[in-house]
Amino acid sequence: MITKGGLNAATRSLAMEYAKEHIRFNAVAPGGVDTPLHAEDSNDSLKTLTPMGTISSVEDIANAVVYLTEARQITGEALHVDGGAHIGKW
Amino acid sequence: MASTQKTVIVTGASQGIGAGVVKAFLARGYDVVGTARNATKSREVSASDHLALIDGDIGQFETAQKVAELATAKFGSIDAVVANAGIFLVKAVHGVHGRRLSHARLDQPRRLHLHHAACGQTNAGAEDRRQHREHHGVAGRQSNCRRTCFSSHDH
Repeated sequence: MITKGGLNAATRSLAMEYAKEHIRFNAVAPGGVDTPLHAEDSNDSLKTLTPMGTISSVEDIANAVVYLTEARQITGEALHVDGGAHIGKW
Repeated sequence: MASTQKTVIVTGASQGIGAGVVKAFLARGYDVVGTARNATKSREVSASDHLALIDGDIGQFETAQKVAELATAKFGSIDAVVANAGIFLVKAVHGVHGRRLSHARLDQPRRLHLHHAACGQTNAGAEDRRQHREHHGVAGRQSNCRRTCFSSHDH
């Protein structure tokens, strides 16, 4: 959890520092994603970790990255792509 | 060969989310430089006219330098960096709790030269780059990213 908060702070700090030069910094915050990292975990148990009961695909995350790259007015943002897991307990 | 397309650097490009990000940018018509320790042996992405792959540990300054040089030489600019490469402190969701992090592990993410890769070698003018270097020192400042964060240079 410390690293997540630290990254959000770093993203905002860098965004502020370079805003005048139009260099943008954003973060994508994924929850459970169906990747080889989770090859040994069952998808059923991973799905219980989000309120929506779904886990993200690699494409879901990649689309968010592409979106932020092209979003000229967005900087210092952490975009959650986690089926609502960041909202809290459910 | 310079082109008018935008160029994206993706670290940790050989598999998983990194490989997916590479494919998404290629599908959108970007030129991509992908790097990972075994990028050229990736089973998920392979080099093409619009995708250059380069092997190396992005935690090493020399690797970051090579990646930036390759991007500018092959595609003519660096417009965005997706700092996807991370240190997997955990192998999977399960078994995370109660695990203590060693000093070595905590130190690893800081070796990622995100800041330098993102800011020192953008397609800003030479004067901008000189000011960056003066402001941050030659090596640039370091940051870390276990998740995906990136910068983009709008013109």
